[in-house]
Amino acid sequence: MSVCPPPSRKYSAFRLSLLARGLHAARGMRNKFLFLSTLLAAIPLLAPTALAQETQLDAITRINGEVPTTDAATIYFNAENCADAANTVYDVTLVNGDGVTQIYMWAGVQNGQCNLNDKRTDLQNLCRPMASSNPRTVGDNATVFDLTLQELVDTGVVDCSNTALEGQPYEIYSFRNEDPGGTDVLPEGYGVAPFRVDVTPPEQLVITSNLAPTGSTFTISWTTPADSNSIAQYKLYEGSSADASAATDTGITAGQNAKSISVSATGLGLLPGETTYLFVSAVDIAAMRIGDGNEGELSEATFVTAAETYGFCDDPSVDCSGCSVSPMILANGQPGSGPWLFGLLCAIVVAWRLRR
Amino acid sequence: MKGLASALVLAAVLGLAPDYAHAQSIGEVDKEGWTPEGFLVSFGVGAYRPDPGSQAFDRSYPSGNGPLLLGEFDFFLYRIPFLGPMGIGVAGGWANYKGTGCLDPSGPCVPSNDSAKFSLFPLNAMFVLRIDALARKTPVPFVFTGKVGYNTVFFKEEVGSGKSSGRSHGFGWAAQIALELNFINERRANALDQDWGINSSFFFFELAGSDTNNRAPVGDKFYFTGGVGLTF
Repeated sequence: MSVCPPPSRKYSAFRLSLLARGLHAARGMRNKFLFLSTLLAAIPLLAPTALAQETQLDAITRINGEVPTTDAATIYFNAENCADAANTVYDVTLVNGDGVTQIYMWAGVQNGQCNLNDKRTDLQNLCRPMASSNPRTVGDNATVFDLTLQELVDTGVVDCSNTALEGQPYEIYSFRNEDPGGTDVLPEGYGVAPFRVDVTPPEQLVITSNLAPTGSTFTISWTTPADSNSIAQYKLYEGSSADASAATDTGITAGQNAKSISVSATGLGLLPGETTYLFVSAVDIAAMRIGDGNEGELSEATFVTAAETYGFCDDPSVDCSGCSVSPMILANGQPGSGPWLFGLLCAIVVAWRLRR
Repeated sequence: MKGLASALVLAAVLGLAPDYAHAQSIGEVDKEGWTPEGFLVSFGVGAYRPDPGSQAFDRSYPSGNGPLLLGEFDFFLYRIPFLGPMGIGVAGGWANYKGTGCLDPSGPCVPSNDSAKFSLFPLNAMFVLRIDALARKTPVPFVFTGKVGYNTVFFKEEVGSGKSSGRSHGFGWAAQIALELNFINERRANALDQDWGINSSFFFFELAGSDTNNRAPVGDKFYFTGGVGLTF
């Protein structure tokens, strides 16, 4: 008995239209479901941006006439500023400051949420008004000029005498036009200018290199300081004795990630046989300009002696004349090997083309 | 000598002129799917240390054998029947050594605080004979190569804040044994030849000597490299 294939279904025109409508309806249902589920999924993602406005970030734009370098991510008041807080003046520039004529300034700890009334009235010294809550006039470019560091210190929130190695973070709250009074202030009603106070200099560097080198160049190396993330620069000092207090700045510096400073005897003005003492120090980033931050104590002295040094080419039996510097660099007036290599490259290309 | 070296490279470049470079001129196709070899490129790593018998180098650089990195390009001009192709080759490389400066120019080294760095750049132009009869006519996949020619070593030295440079030249030779890898899968090797013109790939080990001591003693009587290469 043979097995027959199932008969193919045949639909009338009426039945086909019903079927098509049914499919369409099913697709419509599916689309609605997809839309709703996508919307539900998107709500948590959209909510923070759609429902909560971000805090307006004001900025300290000038301290004692100096503007921060473009790569300064944080504004610092350092030991030098704190030593003369009454005469350390700074400006605060408001973001979205058009139409703001006066502001009420509060000092707060980091994330102090001074916009909330209960934070402003608590007894933990998280937020305190500056200048007895007197409003400050907003000048050109939405900037409040000539505020003093002393005002911040007087709030009792900002500690200018004792900070952690990498500084202590604070915030200035600028309430727009109206005194915050006894209410919570919405984000559009205030701005926050973050800053840090750092009066603690970097640690003294521990020298790891030879303390009495002889040669034509001198490299002074040190161990990475504990607060290496907040080091902006290392400085080299020179003195006629091992007494660091008498040393003078050579103007030679190394960048924030440096582990050593090298200097030649000629760079120090030393002739063969002459000696000097070298010191290094670390300078942190607590300043508007690199190199002006808190400076650590000078390291122990490295006693250097300038001397001629000799290598392979200085051996009397070796002749280093008639030389080209390297195959890739043409010495003046000499045919170096650059053309050789160019010819070789051409040869490879030509041969490759011929082979193909 | 500079002119001689330039002439050798010029010859190498001229050797690529169409009349000479035509692949059929250096050998017949004796296997299906096998095109004649025209040139070879290789890259090797080895140990090289100037040891001309004087202590000049050892004073500042008491240890270190490089390593030497050496690339080579050989162009085959003629195939000797039942033996293999011969041609000319150019090789260029680099090696680097670190040491200390001395407070006296000669005698036992009293080390200073200065570090010393010595870099050399060998540039070799050589006649090459590649004996591949064994690999072509038998299942044994070994190829032997001999090279003789003219070696130049450029070098530069930095001691403290001082810099020096130089160049020496002299006779050079090399003997190489290579293991051709076509035997692993001949069908694929032939396909590589048809598609890319790569006849064979190989591992090699090479012993060599360089008498580049005419000005500064920077030759190495006996050094070696090992690496990989391709013939096209």
